[in-house]
Amino acid sequence: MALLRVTDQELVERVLQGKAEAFNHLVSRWEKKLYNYACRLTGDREEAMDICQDAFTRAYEQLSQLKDPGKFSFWLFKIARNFCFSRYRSGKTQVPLQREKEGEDAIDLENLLSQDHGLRLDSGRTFELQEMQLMVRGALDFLPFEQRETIVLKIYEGLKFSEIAELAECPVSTVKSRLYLGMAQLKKILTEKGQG
Amino acid sequence: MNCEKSRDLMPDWIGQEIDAGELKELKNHLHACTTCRQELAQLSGLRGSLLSAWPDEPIPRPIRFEFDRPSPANPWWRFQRWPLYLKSSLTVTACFLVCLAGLSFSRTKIQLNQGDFSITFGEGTAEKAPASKVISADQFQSLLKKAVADLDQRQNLRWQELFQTREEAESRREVELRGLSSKLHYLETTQNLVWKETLLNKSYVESLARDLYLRTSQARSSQP
Repeated sequence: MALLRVTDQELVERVLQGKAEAFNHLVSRWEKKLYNYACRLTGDREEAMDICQDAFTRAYEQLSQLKDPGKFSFWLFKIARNFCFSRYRSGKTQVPLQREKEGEDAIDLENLLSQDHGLRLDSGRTFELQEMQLMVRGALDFLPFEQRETIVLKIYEGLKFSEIAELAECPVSTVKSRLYLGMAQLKKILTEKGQG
Repeated sequence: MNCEKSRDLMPDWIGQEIDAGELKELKNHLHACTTCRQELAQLSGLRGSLLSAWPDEPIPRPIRFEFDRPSPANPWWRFQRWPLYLKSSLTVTACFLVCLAGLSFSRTKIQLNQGDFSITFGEGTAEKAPASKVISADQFQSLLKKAVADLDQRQNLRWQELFQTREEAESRREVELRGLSSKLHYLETTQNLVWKETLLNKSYVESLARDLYLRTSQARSSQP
């Protein structure tokens, strides 16, 4: 219980004073949140796990470069975000990238779900919760990285627009625009397939 | 408020960062505009769907570090992460300082006297520098004469060495010239001999040709 009262800043300072074990407390504090963030951003559990591991390793190695120890979590998320983005750019997440290029008409969500999850969507069917989850997750795959990232950070992580803008290194107005466009795109995909 | 402004405020609504004044304006517009009301309702519903579609999951394998690697607080670890140019320059400086400290510790004396470099370790064998003193004009003159005489002597020695080298070079040159002239003489003699032999051969061939011509003409005259 005493550890819960210790702030990130104090733990970072302990690590920098030579008590390396304190870093494991930081890891246990943030690993679940970071894993879920990476998972929602990549859509792949194993990749999210790898990104988590890499992000914590990088954070440990560069901890002395952290200017404001109070912003450890923000800094950690930024490292993870950069890993996700570089993997997206290097083409590891091929499916969303290809679908995005094909355009709206080429989107075949039914095919995606039947391929990826062994499911078949029937017309006029009321989706069960599990199927709805798969459909929403599948629809997120069609979004560009920036829109997906904004939705994840705003809806799931509950960050402020200004924090997202700092993380993504863009103006607040761009963040708002990405959120609106991303949501509108998701709505369109889900409505079309729900009706289809 | 029009529909365009209403759409601009929708991200703030979804993100729950809309201020009270704008919220009031938006609500007023939504009462009047069915299209915007429906769109916002759909987006709000989608927000709820997103949240329920992907709840937080537990991490499959908790991450824990084994700290066999040095801590970021360790100076050696920090030094290793410095750029190469910084590390190398610091290492060279440190080595230089260590050498300097070692030399001063062993009371090393380094002297450069009239081009002669000398280095002495330890105090016992070191030559003590002469204490400065006032000298008279006569002493100064005698010291000056001595220095000039030393200089002359050294210069003479240098001249002698130079002459000796020159003589040696000349004698070597003479020997080489003699050898060259004898070779030339031999070449001339050989050429003369070849020439004579050529002349002899030529006269012999002429006599043979003349003899052959005579014989041929006699044979023709004797035929009927």
